[in-house]
Amino acid sequence: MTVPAAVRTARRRFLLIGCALPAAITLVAVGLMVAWLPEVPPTVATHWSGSGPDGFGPAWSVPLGTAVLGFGLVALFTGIMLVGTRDGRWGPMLRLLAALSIGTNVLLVVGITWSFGLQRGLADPLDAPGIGLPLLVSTLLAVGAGVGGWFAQPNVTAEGRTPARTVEPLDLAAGERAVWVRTTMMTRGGMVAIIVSIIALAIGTVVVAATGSAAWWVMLGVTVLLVVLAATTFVFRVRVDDRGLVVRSPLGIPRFGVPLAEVEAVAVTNVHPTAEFGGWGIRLAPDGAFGIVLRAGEALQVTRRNGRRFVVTVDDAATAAALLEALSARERVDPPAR
Amino acid sequence: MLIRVDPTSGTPIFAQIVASVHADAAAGRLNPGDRLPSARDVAGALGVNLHTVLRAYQELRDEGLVDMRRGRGAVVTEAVEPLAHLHHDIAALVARARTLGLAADTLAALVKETYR
Repeated sequence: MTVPAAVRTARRRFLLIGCALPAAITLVAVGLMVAWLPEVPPTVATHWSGSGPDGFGPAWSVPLGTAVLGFGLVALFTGIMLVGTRDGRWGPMLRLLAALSIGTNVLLVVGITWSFGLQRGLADPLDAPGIGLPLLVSTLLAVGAGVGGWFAQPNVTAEGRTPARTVEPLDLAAGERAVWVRTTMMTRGGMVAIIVSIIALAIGTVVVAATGSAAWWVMLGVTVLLVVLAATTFVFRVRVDDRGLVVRSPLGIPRFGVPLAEVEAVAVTNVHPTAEFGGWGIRLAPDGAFGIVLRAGEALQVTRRNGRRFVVTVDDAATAAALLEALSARERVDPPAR
Repeated sequence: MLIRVDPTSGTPIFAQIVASVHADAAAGRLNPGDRLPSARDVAGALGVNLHTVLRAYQELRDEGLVDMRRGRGAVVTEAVEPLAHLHHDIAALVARARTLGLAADTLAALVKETYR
């Protein structure tokens, strides 16, 4: 299959807005800062609090850090796009990613470069002026760049080489009742990454508490919240029966679903988490699609009466789709008196 | 896994649930270590009596297809694997019987007869 012209245009626009422009901005900023190196003190302010500079580092580290951060983010966003759209798919999430790429880049690069430039001619970095104005302006510029980046891209949606496929409804007898259930789980790698980061945060909390800082209880709160979120979103039970589709965590909450009367169409799709939903977990895509995305690959997709999609990654989605299709067809012919 | 029951069929409901689990195993939808949904969930979803589902689960335990453990529910055992191995053969045989115009009961009877 050749990639449609619209997708090729969208991809070129992504490469311009999400990759080439931010890379060029980073290059110019790093060039400027390297040129300014002889004019700034050997140690410069790199962090500010409300009352003035409170973090310092060697001057050369600022252009270096900007290069690493700027080019690194460009590589990350571009990598997500290249890997996620290998099969020719395209969607509004990618449009958002390119806009985010240029927006974050402008925020970081303009903010850092300006605060660096302010220190030219200073003998002591402690005299560095406040960065309220640079922060404000770079934020405004970043929002402008992001919004502009969004509108400079075409609104293209393409399914690529693995389109959502509809399935034949299950052959149900008139009075036959059926239920399909399946447990869907986050991949082991994802769970390990989340557990490790929670443990790191817990250790951080203990360390902060030991230093007597009052911030420890905030960190404790965040740790507890993350544990609860992880415990309720690692595993979901997916069920299809004559009430419709229900996806719920083993604890009962959170719970999501589509009632049978709301089901417009059912399909099996192939989800690419970052390219379609911007990541893993319970996600809302820019086009209004709601996803419970615990891994890449096979997923059950239900289109609601209002056109919005509900997607849950689960194995054996074809059987679930066949049953839901049969049940909703039956409901359409003979709606129950409720 | 898919469980289906037809209250108008002559087969007892519990036997239909057992047959559904067999079909799930044969279709490769069950793996050793998988947990069957709780009997209460199944009963609620199918609109059948809880004891009917429990009877079906007991039947499956007696066959060795699931292991019932307190607090863990019904867990699928290694015994599903032979069923899954036959999946393609059964699908092929049924397709062949269908093109030949053989009824399901006739095919089942023939298989039983040959097995004896």
